Parts: sequence; C-alpha cells; structure tokens
Amino acid sequence: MLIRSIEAEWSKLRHSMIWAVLLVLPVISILLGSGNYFGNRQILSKEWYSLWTQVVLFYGYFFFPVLISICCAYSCRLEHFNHNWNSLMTAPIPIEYVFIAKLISIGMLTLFVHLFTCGLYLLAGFLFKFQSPIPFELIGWFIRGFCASLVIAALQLCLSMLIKSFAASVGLCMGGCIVGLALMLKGYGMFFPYSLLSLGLGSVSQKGLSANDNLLFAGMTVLFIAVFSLWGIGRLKRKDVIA
Amino acid sequence: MKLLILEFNKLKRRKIPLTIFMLLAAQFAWGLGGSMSHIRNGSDDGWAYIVYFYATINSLFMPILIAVLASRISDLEHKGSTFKMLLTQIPAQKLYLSKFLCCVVFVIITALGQMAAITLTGFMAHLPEAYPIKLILFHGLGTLTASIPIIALQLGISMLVVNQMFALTAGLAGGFIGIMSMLFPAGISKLFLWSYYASLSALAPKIIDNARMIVLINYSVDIGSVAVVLISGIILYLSGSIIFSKKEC
Repeated sequence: MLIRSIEAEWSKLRHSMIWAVLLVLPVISILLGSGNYFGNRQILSKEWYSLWTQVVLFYGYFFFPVLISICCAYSCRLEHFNHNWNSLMTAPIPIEYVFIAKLISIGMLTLFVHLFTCGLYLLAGFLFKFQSPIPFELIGWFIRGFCASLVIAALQLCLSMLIKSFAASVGLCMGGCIVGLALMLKGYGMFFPYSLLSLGLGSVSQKGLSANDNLLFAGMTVLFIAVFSLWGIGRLKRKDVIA
Repeated sequence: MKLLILEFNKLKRRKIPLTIFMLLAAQFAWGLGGSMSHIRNGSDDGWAYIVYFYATINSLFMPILIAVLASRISDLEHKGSTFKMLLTQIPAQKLYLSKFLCCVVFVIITALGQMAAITLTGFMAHLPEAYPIKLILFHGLGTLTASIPIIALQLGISMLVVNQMFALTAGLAGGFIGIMSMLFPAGISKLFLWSYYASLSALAPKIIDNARMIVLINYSVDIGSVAVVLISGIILYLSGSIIFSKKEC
C-alpha cells in the first residue's frame, strides 16, 4: 500500500516540468561557484576544498532549503485545488501513508538534486585539472547534506499542508533560513532544522564534524524528522481537513 | 486608480504586510549583527557601512520578496480561473498595469521600511556621525530603481505561467545570481539585472591596510547603470504586457 501511495505521488509529478526547476539551481550554483573560484585561485589555494566552499556556501544557507520548500509546496499543490484534500482523506489508505509517501517522493527528488550537484562539482574539479585527490570528506558532506535535507522536507511538508498559498510557505522557509544562519553563527546550528544543512554540507568548515558532533547531528536529524512527521500525521488524523 | 485600489482590495487578509515585515525584521537583525563588529573596531564610516550592508543583502532578499509578491498578486486570478471574466470588463493592459503598480507600491513600502531599519540600526549602535538623511534617501531610491526590472520580469512570469513554481524558482535563481555577482569583476556583474542593488547605492567598498574594509560615499549617479536598469524594466514590462494581452486565458 505504501509503494502504491509513492507511485501515486510520482504520477502527480508527471508532466509538471519540476525537473527543469531541480536542474536549474545546481547548474547556477556550480557555474557561479566555479567562476568565483577561477577568478580567485591565488587566494583559494586548496583546490577541491576551496571549490566546494564556493559552490555550497549560499547553496546550503538559502537556496537548497528554498528549493526543497518549492518541491514540498508543489507536492501539496494538487490537493489544495478543487477540494482534493477531502477526496484524498476519504481514500482507503492509512493516513500516515499520505504523509510518508509525500516525504519519500520529495526525498527522492532532493537525492537527485544532491547527486547532480556533486556530479557537477566533480566535473568542475576535473575540468580545473586539480592535482590533489578527491577529498574523502565528500562522502560525509553528501550523506549529512541529504539527511539534513530530509529534515527541511519534513518541516516544509507540514507547512505546505497547512498553507494553501504556494509562495507563503516558500517565504516562511526563507525566514527560517535567515534565523538558521544567525543561530549557526552563534553556535546553536545543531539545534535548528534550517541550519543543519549548512553544517552537514561543510560549507563553513571543511574539517568535518568530530565524532561527538556527528553523533549529535545524527540524533538531531532523526529527532527533527520524527517530530515533524508525527506533527504532520497527527494533524491529518485529528483536524478536520477542509480543502 | 480604481483598478489599483481594487488590486489592494483583492489582497486583503493575504498577509502581504506580514511578509514584508518579516523580511524587514530579518534584514534588521542581520544588519545589526553584521554592522556592530565593524563599528566596534572604531571605524568612522558607521552609517555608510550600515547602508552598504543593507544594499548588499538586498541583492539576496529583494528578488525573492518580489517573486513572492508578484506570485501572491497573480495567483488569485489563476486559482479561481477568473482572468477571462475579468478581461471582459477591463483591457488586459490596464489590468497588467494595475498589478505592476501594486507591486511597485509594496516595494516602495519595503524601501521605506528599510530606511527606518537603517535609522534604528544606526541609533542602536550610538554612531557619533550626523544622521545622513541624503545617503539614506539615496539608498531608498536606488533600491526602488534596481527593483523595477525585477518586478517587471517576475510579474510577467507570474501572470503568464499558471504554475507559480517557475516564478518562485526564477526569483530564487535571481537572488542567487545577485548575491554571487558581487564577487565578480564589475564588468561581469553588470550583465546581471539582480546585481544593481549595490551599485545604485552611492557607496563603494575600499580595502585599506590589513585587509580592513571601509565604505566610501559617492553621490555621483552612474547614468549608465540607471539607463540599463530603466530600459530593461521598460522592455520587460512591455513584453509582459503585450504577451499577456495576446494570450488566451
């Protein structure tokens, strides 16, 4: 039943041109980041590490979270039209599968964006003919970045289910990113969902997280996903969802 | 004028002032934090630094805010499929103009709010210099001028494409390009419409000894930049208006 729910979510995305939206941001991020790296190679001397910071700096702070919020808002868009929430809530599937299927489908989209960004980053590095080997830390950045993106997806999915307007939930995400940046600079980034992505991607420090920090990161990720998912599912079960 | 008032009536209870307020609050918090460390180092360009800081973060925030505003203004008719009915009563160009002016009014409100936020930031920092009314007015005018082509572009996308996802993605990409273009040489950054917030602010950064940055004030108007921005705005507005009037709704 869950597989069929996920298939239903995928079929809603057909012919939506969401692929164009998902591809644009990583391409712009890599082009601008690579351009800036190329123009400042005398200062940015750490090759792969310097290129990574240029690519993911603003990408991790603002633009990937807002892209995730756009995906979540689009996922709920069909239900907000023509009283479709009412129809969905009368469907013979467990209510939790509605939320989980949406979260999994958005997770697959963010995984695609993440893989595409990393692929373009590696391509840019090869085109620059870097002498040093590909950093081992890339695996950690990738995994932590993807996990943090699921946290944002879970929260934004809850907001998109609540808010009918497409733009409003995206605007809230932007506000959350700004608060997340402030908290990260103050040292509280681990405890706020929107700042986990920047920490996980290593956009500020390429040293990587210590073992304790990795444990805390994993714990906060699981906690946030669980809390937001339970909130979203609980709201669907308890509230009279009126479309 | 009546159409403009009708547009504002349509936006009642859609929490657009709240959206603008949240953006201004975020800019104020970021501006206050970002300016304080520079001011505490004993620099004598306090007000100029604060205004320049706001001008640079405008490159990030304003394209996204304008995209959200244009989307909220346009999606009422898209959701209700009421464009066709509306266009039986008023010409398409007048409807487009009223929505454009509605966006411009909200951006003016945002610019005024920023001027107030800059003033509050400066007073909270207890700056010794005199209050630079001319500089702050210049900043407000520069913000509005730089926003004109972006409003025209975003409104065009929001009005012509039903799915607001594309308009918001364009705004997001614009914000990204705007903030990154500041890292490029001046000649290349001027190719991007989203990079003009800093260049139309009468301020320029200068790196002095020990890599310390100060901000210099230069009130001479860059006629070339203003011309590029205004001509682009006119072209984008006319393109959007003509395509909308010919489009089957």
